[in-house]
Amino acid sequence: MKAANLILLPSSLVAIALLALNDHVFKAHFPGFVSGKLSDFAGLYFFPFFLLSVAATLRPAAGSKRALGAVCVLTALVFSCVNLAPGASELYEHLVAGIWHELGRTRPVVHVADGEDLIALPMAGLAYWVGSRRIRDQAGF
Amino acid sequence: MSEPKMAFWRFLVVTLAGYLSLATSAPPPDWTVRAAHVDVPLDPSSSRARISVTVEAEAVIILAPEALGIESSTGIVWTPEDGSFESEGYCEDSHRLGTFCEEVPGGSGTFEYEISMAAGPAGTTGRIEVLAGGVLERLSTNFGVSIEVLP
Repeated sequence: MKAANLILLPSSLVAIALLALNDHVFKAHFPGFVSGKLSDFAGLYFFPFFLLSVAATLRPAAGSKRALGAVCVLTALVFSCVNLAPGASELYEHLVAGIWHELGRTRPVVHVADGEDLIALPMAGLAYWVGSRRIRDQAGF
Repeated sequence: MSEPKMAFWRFLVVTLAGYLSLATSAPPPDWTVRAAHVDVPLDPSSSRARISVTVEAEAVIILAPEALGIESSTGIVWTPEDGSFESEGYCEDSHRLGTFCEEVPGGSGTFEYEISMAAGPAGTTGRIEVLAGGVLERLSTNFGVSIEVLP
């Protein structure tokens, strides 16, 4: 499988659907620990594939196992920073609010830094494991 | 699946994933804003713009990328070095836009702001965006914001 297409893996699509359901349905109707963490687990799984897909579309050379490793590490690092450092969290809010603003949809952005969210970090590792196996499978053909 | 079909689905899923990733950090669903803006002409040297803002809301928020300073008729003075200004109460609890946010006592009011604008090439404009924000169930039916540029 081409690295750019990892985002189309069934597990990635399930993670995206879970994030959408959790943010728009579960959080409102079943607030609690599980709905508070589910988006982090889902997001950390598919976000490296998202980044890799964007990168590999812009620059096909980025579609390698090494690039997959890099986006997984980057995702985990940024996620850790915004949940551990209030300054990074604020910077993240500015960045996301800025992107919304550029898209013509000015809206406030609230990110609650919570070190407990780091329990979802292994999902970035899982994304690497799943993704690298699929890239390797392709190379073996 | 053929490559063009794959590319189409990839584009669709990447767009959706990007949107969801941005929206996951958006405000709680009960947070509502109404926005209005004015474009003021920039000068080759820094200039000042005066606006009058009438809001029916819990907070008034100003977004002005070219602003070098904001002076409110309530006495609050802000410069970019101050970082984001969020007065106690609603702004502090609910707002993280990063420029300037002050409470609207009683849920409605008229404020005057004197805004120092950065220098810019003649003929260009700088945008001043004003948001009225609040929790929908606490807002009046007149919820909104209007801006008038003062001479």
